[in-house]
Amino acid sequence: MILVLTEKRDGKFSRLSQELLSEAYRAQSALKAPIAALVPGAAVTPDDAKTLGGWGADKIISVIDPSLEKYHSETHKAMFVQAIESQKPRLILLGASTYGRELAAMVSGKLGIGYANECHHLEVQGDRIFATRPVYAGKALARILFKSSPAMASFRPNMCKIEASLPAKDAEIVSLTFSPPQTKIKILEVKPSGDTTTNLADARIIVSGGRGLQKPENFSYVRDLAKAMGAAVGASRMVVDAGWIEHAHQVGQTGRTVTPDLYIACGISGAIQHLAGMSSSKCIVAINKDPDAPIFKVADYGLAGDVFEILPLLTTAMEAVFKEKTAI
Amino acid sequence: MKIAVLVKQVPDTATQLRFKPDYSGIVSEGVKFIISPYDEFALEEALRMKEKAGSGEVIVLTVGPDRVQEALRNCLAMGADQAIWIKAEEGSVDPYLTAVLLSKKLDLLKPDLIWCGRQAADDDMAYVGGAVAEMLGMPFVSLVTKFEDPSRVTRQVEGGEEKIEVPLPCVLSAQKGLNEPRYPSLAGMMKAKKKEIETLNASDLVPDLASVQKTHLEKLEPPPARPAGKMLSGTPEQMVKELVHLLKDEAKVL
Repeated sequence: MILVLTEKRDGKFSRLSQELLSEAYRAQSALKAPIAALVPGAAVTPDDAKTLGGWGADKIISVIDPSLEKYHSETHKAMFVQAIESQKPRLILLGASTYGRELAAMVSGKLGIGYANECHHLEVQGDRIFATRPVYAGKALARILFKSSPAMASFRPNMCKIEASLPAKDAEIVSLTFSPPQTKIKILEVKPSGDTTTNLADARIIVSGGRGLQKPENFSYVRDLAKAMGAAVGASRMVVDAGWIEHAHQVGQTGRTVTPDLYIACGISGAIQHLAGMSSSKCIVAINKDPDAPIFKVADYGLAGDVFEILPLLTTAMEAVFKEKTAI
Repeated sequence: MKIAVLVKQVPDTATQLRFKPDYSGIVSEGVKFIISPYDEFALEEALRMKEKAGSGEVIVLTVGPDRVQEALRNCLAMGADQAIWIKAEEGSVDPYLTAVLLSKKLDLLKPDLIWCGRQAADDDMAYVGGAVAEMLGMPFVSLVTKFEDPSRVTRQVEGGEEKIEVPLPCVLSAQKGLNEPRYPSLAGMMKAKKKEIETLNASDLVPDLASVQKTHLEKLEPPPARPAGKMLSGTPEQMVKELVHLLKDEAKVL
């Protein structure tokens, strides 16, 4: 079995869950194993069975308990461990979110499972499973052989290509009874930042600003473009350290590693630590005054020019594009 | 309070890597090594806790080859009381084995609290803290951004933050923003030179190292170069128009 830990966002299975099921689908023929979607929390509906079935899941392992509706590391760990021990998968896939990464390290340590974090892709050769993942913040790729069964791999959003035309089917629902453990950690308060522009991990588009913006107030140029495109706002380490914007926005080696469809770097020269955090983006646009800036080496499209002239024009153009899109 | 800090020595983040001809790893000669930045936050927080309490002990532990002694010396110079080096050949330990080695030694030390960095700046696995916590049966809290006392721990979560109460002993991983690490003082560096580093062989803790590993590094190579991009030309208006067209029709990302 290939076990895929799914997650819901606002009542719907996330796009990342679909991406993980697609990755499982690609490994399936070589491993000759059914795909099971692990769904903790609320009961699974017939609609869920259709959705997950259509994404490639043969089975749904439903673990119903109110304690699982919000993430708690100890409760989710106990659920995950129980699912792995009872289902005995050959391969386990999960999302490399804040929660996923914490969960994977604990479960791997507890059960002695070989684990690879934030993979680019998997490869199955006979009964051997390999993962390719970036190391040294993207300056190198490591090919890892799993020596354990099961093997466990996590993926960031946007890394696994979605298998678009899988046959429609209903996944078979299997329920697991779960008794939540006594927890040691008490969550006293959850404070959402209220700022959706910091959601760099999930963003399809990121507009980032750097020192070329010259002063903190000028970050509004970047925010305006991001707003027009419904994008998250990123920043270079330089401007975060200078206090222009919070650390939650930082992209790069001591910030977030991001993989959006579109990354627009504005006034960012492209220090190696920054490039490490964004060079896996699908499409990169760089806007910078200095035509020799290293950022242009990784850019698909480079605009050598004044950010203060170009950004307002681009914002107006994007407002029109996105208005048209929502009208359709 | 006895506080253990798990550190790792990594290549400086600005280093240009050179690869071995057989792609079995990087060439470490000529590389400047540093303490992984997140581990510095962890050590700084441990030192502040000790200073605030006016008593206690800060013990740093690491696993690695000869070169890692320098990182331990730096930790001692920053103010750590004791350093423990689990000696292992370059490339001989995977993340799981590293966690096993550390937890065996920690089990003997019985610290009240264990700090580590949120991830190492070389392999970015974000692994050892969580795995060690499980091996020792302690709770684990990752991405701590503020620590007042165990009943008031703030940590980063997706789209916000959580305030948490966690009982001791536990393992905490440090995120950027937790503090500003100090530089070692001259006096600290002099003192550090005289301190003994406790040295253990990895094989004394785990006799058959290879059999405990769960993953094996098959190959390490540079990522494929991105194909050369296009530099747009013309007036700002022309460039913006061209860019919108390319993003829509060529890259298909709008």
